[in-house]
Amino acid sequence: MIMDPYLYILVQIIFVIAGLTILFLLAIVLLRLFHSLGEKRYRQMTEDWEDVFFGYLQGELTLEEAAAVFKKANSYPWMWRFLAPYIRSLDGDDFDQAKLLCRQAGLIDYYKKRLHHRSVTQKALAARTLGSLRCRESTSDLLAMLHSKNPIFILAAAQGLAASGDTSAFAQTTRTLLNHTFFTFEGAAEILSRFGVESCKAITAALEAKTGSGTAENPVEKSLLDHLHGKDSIEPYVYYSLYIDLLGNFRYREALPALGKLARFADQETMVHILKAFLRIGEMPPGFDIKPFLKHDYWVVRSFAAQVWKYSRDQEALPLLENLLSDPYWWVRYHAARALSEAGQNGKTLLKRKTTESAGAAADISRYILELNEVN
Amino acid sequence: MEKQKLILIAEDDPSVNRLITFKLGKEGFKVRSTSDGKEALKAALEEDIDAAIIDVMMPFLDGIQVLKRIRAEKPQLPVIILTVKSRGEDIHKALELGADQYMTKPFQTAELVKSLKSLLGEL
Repeated sequence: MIMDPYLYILVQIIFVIAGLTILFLLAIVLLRLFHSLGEKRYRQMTEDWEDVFFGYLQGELTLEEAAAVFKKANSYPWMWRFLAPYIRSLDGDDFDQAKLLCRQAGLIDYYKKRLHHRSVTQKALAARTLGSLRCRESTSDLLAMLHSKNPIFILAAAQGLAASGDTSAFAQTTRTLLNHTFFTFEGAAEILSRFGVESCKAITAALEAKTGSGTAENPVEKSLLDHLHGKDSIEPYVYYSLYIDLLGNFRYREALPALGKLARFADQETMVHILKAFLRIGEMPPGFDIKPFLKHDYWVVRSFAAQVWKYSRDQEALPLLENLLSDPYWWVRYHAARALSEAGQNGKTLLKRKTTESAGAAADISRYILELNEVN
Repeated sequence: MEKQKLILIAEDDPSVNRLITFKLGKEGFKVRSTSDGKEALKAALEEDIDAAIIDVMMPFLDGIQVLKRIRAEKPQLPVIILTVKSRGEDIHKALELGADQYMTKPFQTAELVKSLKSLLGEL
């Protein structure tokens, strides 16, 4: 019997599709099998590694003995997968000991070589790993990666540099992150905060130099001061905002005097960040006069000034807070009323009087806050 | 010689459990390590422990339930709750139920020791 040529082609196509499907399914099954075998082997190894690692930390095994066990496994990605959670949680001598083990076992050299790997993923992973191990000898390689055009490299290098805590790279990392539109301001702040509290010292020194109450001593402080002087393409207020946010995030009280001085001549955006930093730190510099900020032209400054008033409780500012109850902006009225409600009996009496005196915005916000306080 | 303080660790992740055990041992504490909620509760109520470090996510009985039972029977026992950052509701619940402190994972072991010592009045 002669088959219809079209039917013959159709049957052939069905056979090919079925064959490909079977091959595809077989590949998935094999991959899963290899993966689960690999995981099983990893689990077995980590059981031994845990004893070796803690035995080494407790001084029961020498560095050479412990390193030999990890070396024997001949898998640095697995070794890092095992050690990474410990490395991130350990500190002081324990961290140094763990790092020494990584070095002796060859893990650090392995990832240093991987920094020059062709694969984007491998390079990025190496940058983050060396950063987590605080390998400052890799700073120059990471800085070179930071200046690449690939956003994945830039991000990995910035994360690596920040995790390493090497503040010598802080200024360059900041400039790079702010220069690229694919990083948001908050994202940049999050990465930079991983440099740790040491960066706050440099920022404070630069702010003190800028406000004439100190000098920028070392290259990092001088670079930060250059940022504040507007010596590159990024507007100084962007640097100010970012650096002040970092001080606030670390609740760095030592920066309060410099922030207080800066607030006197800062632009309105920077002023907002300074007042926000006071809120984060939970206090204002001693003797800081909040009154000019309660009268500021920019409503966001007035709003934050009303929020930070509580740290001075300056009674002379009460009439200004009262004026803000009629501010055109709801948030300003809200924070002024909140401040007055926390200003003792005088403030509460004032709010009550406002509810009866008029039917305007001041009366509405006063009523709202008094009711809110009753509910709470 | 001062008696070694006994700390209960309730954590089902063996790596975290071992890490805390190691660090507390190094700091001079005696450690009672458990990996599920039921065992942790039994140890907390029946043994003479000085403080407890309890993970929220545990098999058989979660950390919040363990904390609730501990508070009913040993209201003065210092308790630190361990949780993951993304589970803010656990933190609220634990604090409402009287946890003395909480730590989000991953944490620095030094911070945990500092919190524990401060709760035990050793700082």
